[in-house]
This record gives sequence, structure tokens and C-alpha cells, in this order.
Amino acid sequence: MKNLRLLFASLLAFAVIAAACSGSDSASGDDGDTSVTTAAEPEAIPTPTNESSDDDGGDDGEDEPVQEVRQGGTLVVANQTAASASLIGNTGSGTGIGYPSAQLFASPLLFDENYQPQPYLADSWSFADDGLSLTLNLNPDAVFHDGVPVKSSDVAFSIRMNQALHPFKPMFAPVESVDTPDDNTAVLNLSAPHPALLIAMSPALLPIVPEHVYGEAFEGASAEDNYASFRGFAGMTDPDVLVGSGPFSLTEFDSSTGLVRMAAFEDFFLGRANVDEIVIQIIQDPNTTLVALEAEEVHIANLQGVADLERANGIDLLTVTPQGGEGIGAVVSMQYNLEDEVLQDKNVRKALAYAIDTDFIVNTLHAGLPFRAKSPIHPGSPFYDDSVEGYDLDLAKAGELLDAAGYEADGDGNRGLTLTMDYIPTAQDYQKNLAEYIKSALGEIGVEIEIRASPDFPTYLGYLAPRNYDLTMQILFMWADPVIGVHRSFQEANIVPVPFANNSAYINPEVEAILDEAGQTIDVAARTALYAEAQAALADDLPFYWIETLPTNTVYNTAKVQNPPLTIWGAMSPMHEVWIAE
Amino acid sequence: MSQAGRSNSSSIRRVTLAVARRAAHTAFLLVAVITLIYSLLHLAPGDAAVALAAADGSDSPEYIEALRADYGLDKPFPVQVATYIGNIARGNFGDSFFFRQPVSELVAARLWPTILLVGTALSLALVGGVLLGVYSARRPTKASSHIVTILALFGFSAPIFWTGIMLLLLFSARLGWLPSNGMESVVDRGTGFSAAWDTMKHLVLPASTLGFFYMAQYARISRATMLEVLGSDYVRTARAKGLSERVVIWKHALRNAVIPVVTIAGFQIAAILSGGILVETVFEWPGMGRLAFEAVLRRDTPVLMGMLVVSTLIVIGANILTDIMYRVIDPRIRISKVV
Repeated sequence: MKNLRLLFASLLAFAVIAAACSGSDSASGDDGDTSVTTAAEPEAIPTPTNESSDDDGGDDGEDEPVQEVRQGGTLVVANQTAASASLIGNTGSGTGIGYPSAQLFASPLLFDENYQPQPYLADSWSFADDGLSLTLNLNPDAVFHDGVPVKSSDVAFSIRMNQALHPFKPMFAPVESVDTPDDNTAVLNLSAPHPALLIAMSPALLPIVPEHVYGEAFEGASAEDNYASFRGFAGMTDPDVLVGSGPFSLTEFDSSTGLVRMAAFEDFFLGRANVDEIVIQIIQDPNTTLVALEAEEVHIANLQGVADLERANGIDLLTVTPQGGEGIGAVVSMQYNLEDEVLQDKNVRKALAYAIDTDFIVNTLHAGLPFRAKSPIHPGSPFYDDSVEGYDLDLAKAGELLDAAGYEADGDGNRGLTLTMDYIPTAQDYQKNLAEYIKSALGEIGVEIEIRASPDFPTYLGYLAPRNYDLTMQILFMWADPVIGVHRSFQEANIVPVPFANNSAYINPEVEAILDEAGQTIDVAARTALYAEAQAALADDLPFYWIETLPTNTVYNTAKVQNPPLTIWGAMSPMHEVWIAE
Repeated sequence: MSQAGRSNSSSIRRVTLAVARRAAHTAFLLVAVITLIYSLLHLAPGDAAVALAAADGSDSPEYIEALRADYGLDKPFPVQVATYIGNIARGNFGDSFFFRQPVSELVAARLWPTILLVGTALSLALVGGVLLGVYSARRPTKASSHIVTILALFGFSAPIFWTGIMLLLLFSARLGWLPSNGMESVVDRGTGFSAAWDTMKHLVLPASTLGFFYMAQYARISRATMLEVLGSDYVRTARAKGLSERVVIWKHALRNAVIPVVTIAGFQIAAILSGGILVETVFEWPGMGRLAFEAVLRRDTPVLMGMLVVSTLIVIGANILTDIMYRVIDPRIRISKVV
């Protein structure tokens, strides 16, 4: 008995010490010879021109012998955000809902890693010459999980549902009606040309739901209370009621843990999925996610934190890639409140930008994980223009601009200028740490920053929405097309006391006109040119100082996960082609 | 015989009375807690509708207004509180803003994992702590006793989340002996016995992490009191009577030495419940602590209120249990005295 107790005590001591050592091992071993892709070189930016277009199933280009596709197994995907009250992407945005929705429901189109549309439920599609209608030709083989064929009327219903419930109003706002000349043809009639319509038909954004299951509950709900009765409809989460159109059908949803379990749908029109089952598991702590990946309990996860990604790079088992999820298009910036007397002066805004060393931020502070972003458009997007003014570090110029604006330095270099700085409290590396760096950087040119730390997200929103701030660190999401997530920040009508609207109170009718036109130009070259013009003007007006992307890296088990989901939507795309190797 | 029966029935009456008084206190306390917390939440910056709209990615004022109407947040504050208390009195905890699901279901889903985790950790801490304490008190100058003291100091000063992550790295990531997160395996869980075994395996690390922290404290306390008790007259008397060392230690000395441990454990139930949040976060254990914490971040008032009501009940229940434990350990203590 005595010996047993001693043994137990020493075992405990050993365990803790050994764990401590092994922890530091994995953290420092990041130069292991794994097939790691980091974003260190700017050439790695996945753009349509330099992205390899091998169709070898998304492997990383190494000449490995082609393995035979293995059927079966359970794919476990970890996510940090849980779905709450719905698993249908027509009712809300975010990965919590997008991950399950993209497996449970098919959408008219898919998008590849180059933002190019690919057939999905729609075999083919075409805009009319005047751009005022879009015709979708649906795959006649597609059926819902209850065996009923997917018809054009279901597409029309899904768009109506989306228009009513989805928070991204610009996606389908121009759609006035949907004609259904036959079961396999849907014609979307538009009030104005709307090129963003294609990307709005991605799996995460427009899941096609069966009208025969959801129609009645939807028609019985009212806009007055935000369709509360329909949002509470059992078909949103209940495996016995929910009927989808995607490669997997719902078998379990545990709202308490956020766990979603889905089984391969035998009659999926593109062929039964390779894996038998997909489980989406919610793990909030990135440390735990890493342990679960290392223990091979989880196959795929997404991580953002600098230390987490560096640790993942050090685990031989794992591949870390910046691909697979850039579609959400998160750009980190410093936002100016243009209603502030000091910041109304464009030269002061530019002076602050010149004092910030973005090269240091991207490559040192964030270890080369993000991409530099000089505009609100995500650098992966075909519309991003890298040639706009980026305000590279230039303290002399910053000083001159401040002198000219009337804020001359006294003997101690102090300019008598004090500004407050807020940040989103949920993103440590890309908000809090950045705010602290910028405070010290602006201190160099004699501008004093008072950081106002919000204890939680709602508190932060309480400052942002009514524009009760001077400067704030910001992260805005583009959602693949500027019309969805970029225009909102620069429209005069959008200066409302609501978070993530036009909270800079930025007004420039010319820029707004260019953006409006770009949003209605179908021709890609012409549209790109318009966005280039808008980005140049915005970089000069500088309502935000854009800094970098928020990394949306995919981390997966290299040996096990074959055909990993690495398009712009990552795991928010159907994963019927993914398979698990032995 | 009849003497004993009377004294038994009068003691039962005393216990019943004490419990009834407790229940009245509890009801009053609950109303006060609800009003206070509801007001505090109302005073907290940022409101639920804006937070929910932002989480949905909406920038439309109409959407926020519709959310407010949906959740009854457009009504005056006193009306909201009164409605809430009225509903609670009728046993209706309302629906979660975030989950659109009855709060009672959410709480029920989290209650069992919480009881399992906290119960296991507390039992581990009490039994392990007292054993270690007694062991080292008997040989206070031996090396093994010093090891226990050092371990106790270490266990007490190491942050819970750190211990948790270290155990995870060793037993899950390196050795692969134990699952890293959750309460159930998502693949190949099985049914019946194998499912129970699966849950047990998931329980080992979080319960140990939480248990070790408190075990260290209890070991220190029971060591100190045991040392004191072992030097007292009645222990010397017992030894002089020629009782075996085992009876002296476990029957005579321990009963007295263990009372301070029970007192502290009783006090700490609330702390363990909230300390559970860290363990729940590190191990993704689906307990109440984390749900309550997330509810604060989401301004999901109905869930938070439901959690607080249930936690208050648990703490009060635990205190009553502590009182009963006193009586079991030391019959000289009467319930009415401690109530």
C-alpha cells in the first residue's frame, strides 16, 4: 500500500515533467521536413495566374504514385464555431452554419481555388446579353434525400427563403422573380446586371432546399418578427425532418456540443461520397484542436493563431496550407472614424499609416502567415489590385504630414495628439497585439494612443455601432465578392448605428458610383478595371488603413486525408470526393 | 428502545425544519439573484440583438429591430424582469436567443456532464487528499512525506489550464492512451458497456486535472490537522489503551481531522463549478460552466439566468449535504447548530 502511493506520486511527477518537455519539443521543432506550405513568399498568393492547375486531385504537386481511392471511414472535421439554431445556409452566415450546410445541401454552382464557377446542381448557366436575367439548367438526376427530384421551383423557393432570412441582403437583392419554364430550367429575372450572383450561388450561400418540406412553414411565417416561427421550424436542425440535396444527410445534431453527424447519401447525383460519414466537431481551444489533430482524432481543422500555426508546422503528421477558406476573405485593417475632428484630415490619416511598418507586422509579428493587403478586397480575389498605394514605413514623411496638418512636435517630440484605439477582443494576434504594436509605432512620431480594451465582443460592438471611437482595429469579411462584403463599408446610405456597416462615416459619391457600376458590370475585365479605380481612390481617401489578411489556413492529416477541400470555400464545399487513406 | 425512538423522531423533525427554513431562504435568494443579475446584464454595454446580428454578419438596422421584436427586447426593462420572474415561478425558463431552444433542455443536457465531472473530481480530491495528508502526517520527517508536501504545493500553484494542456500533450498527443476532448468518441463509440467505458476514458484527464488541484489543498489541510490531532490527549489515551495503530488513526484521529476538509470542500463547491470552466474549455467537456460563460459573451440572457438558477440550487444542495456529512462524521454536531 505504502509503495503503491509512492509509485503513484512519482508517476504524477514524471507525467507532468515529461509533458512539459514534450510540449516544448513540438513547439521548437518547426523545421521538420514536412510538406508544409507557408505564406512566407508573396508568390504563394493563390491567384488565377500563378496557381498550378494540375487536376491531380488537389495534391501538393509531389510526384507520388497515385493511390487507389478507398471507400468508407469517418471524416472528422473540427471547427471553432458551432451552428446554433439552423444548419441551413439560407438562414445565416459563418462557418458554424456553412460547414454542415455545404454537406447537407447542394447549390447551383461550385467554385474552384481560382474563384471560377463550376457546375453543380446547374449543368450550365448563362447571363442574357443585357445582363438582366440568368438561366440555370439543372441536372435532371439530382434528388433530395427523400427521393423527390430537385426542381427549378425549389431553386426559386430557396432564393425567396434566402432573400427573406439571410443577413447578406446584397446577394439576391436584384433578383425580382424566378421563372420556371420547366422542371429543370430556372430563369432569374434581375432589376440590374449582377455579376456577384454567381458567387452568391455557392454551397455556403445558397443551399437548395425542398419546397415540399419547407414551403408551408415559410409561408406561415412573417417578416415582422424576423420569421421567428420558420427559424424555429424543426426542419432547421432535426434529423427526422431536415431534408437536403447534398452528398450527406443529417443523422445527428447535438446543439449542446455543436456536433453534427452526417451519413453519405446513396443517391447523390454526382455519385455516393467516398467516406461513409462526416462528423463536424466543435473544439474552441486551438491547443486542444492541435492535440486532437496530433492524436489523429480529428482529420481537418482551420487555425489562425500565429503560435498555433507554427506548432502545427512542427507536427510531422500534418499539412498546413493557406488554401481552403480564403473565400470568406477576411482583411485586417485599422479603421478611422471620419467624424473625429482630427481624423477628418486625410493627411493625418496618411501620416498614421506611414508610421506603421506593415512588413514588420506581416513577416515578424505574424511570422509571414498572412498576406499583405492594401485594399478592402482580399488579395486572393481576381479583383485585388496590388499596385495601389500601400504607405510603406516612412517616418520622415509621417512627420512632415503631421507638421503640415498643424500638429508640430514640441521639444520632446510630442505632438499633443491623443487618440483612442479599440480592437475586437476575440482575435488576440490580429487585433490586440496589433493594437499594441501600433500604439508603440505611433508613439515614435509623437502621437499618443490610448488603447480601450473591451472585455467582450458585445461591448466592442457597443462602441463601434454608434461610431463612438477614434481608431479601431478591424476585421471585415468579403465573402468572395466585393458586392457582398466590401461595398457596405463605403455607402453613404449605410452610415447607420449598426456594427460592420459604414462605421467610418465615409462619404465619397464618386467612389460609390464606381463601386455601383462595378457591381453591375458582367464583363470581368471591365469589372476588374472599375475595382482597380475604386481601390486606388480608397487608398487615397484612406477611411481604413488596410494591413493584411486574416490567415484562414487549413490543417489536415497528410497521410489520411486525400483530396482535401482546398477551394476558396474549403470545408464549406461538398466533400464527396474526399477519401481517407489507410 | 422507546427513548431512542423519540430522540430519533425529534431529530428528524429538526432536520425537516432546517431544510424547510433553507428552502424559504433559497426562494428569497433566487428572486434577489435573478433581479440583480438581470439588472447587471441590462447595464452591461452592448445588446443581444446587435451581438446576434453581428454574429450573423448582418449590417441591416431592420434585421436588428426584427430580432429585438422576436426576443421581446423592445419591451421596457421592468416588464422584461417581471415577465421573466413570472415565467420562472411557473417553471418556464424561456428560450435561448442563440439556440432558439428551451433553456430547460439546454441546461438539462449540460447538467449530467457537470455532475459527472465535478463529482468525480471532488471525490478524487477528497479521498486522495485525505489519504496523502494522513500518510505524510504519520511520518512528518520522512522523505516520502516531503515529496507529498512538495507535490501538494506544486498541484496547488500550477494553473489548472496548464496542468490540463500538459496532461493532454502527454497522454493524448504523445502516448495516445486517452482521448483528447469531449465526453464521447465521435467514431466507434459503441453502446452499453463500451459506451460507458468510452465516457470513463474521456473523464480521466479532465477529472484528474480538476481533482489534482483540489487534492493538493485537501492534502495540505488534512496533513496539518492530522498532525495536530495526533498530538492530542485522547489519541495518546487510545494508544495507551493498547488499540492498534490502524484503529487509532482511522477511527479516532481521522474523524476529527477530516472536519476542516469537509468544511472547505463545502465552501468550494461553487468555486469548483466555476473552476470547471477552464477544464471544460481545455478538454471541450460539455459542462454548464462553459455554456454560462458563452451565454455572457452572447448576451444570451435566458440561458445565463437559467444556469445561475440551477447553479444556485446546486450550491445550496451541496451545503445541505455538507451539514449532513458533519453529522455523519461527528455525531456530536447537530444539524440545527450549523444551519
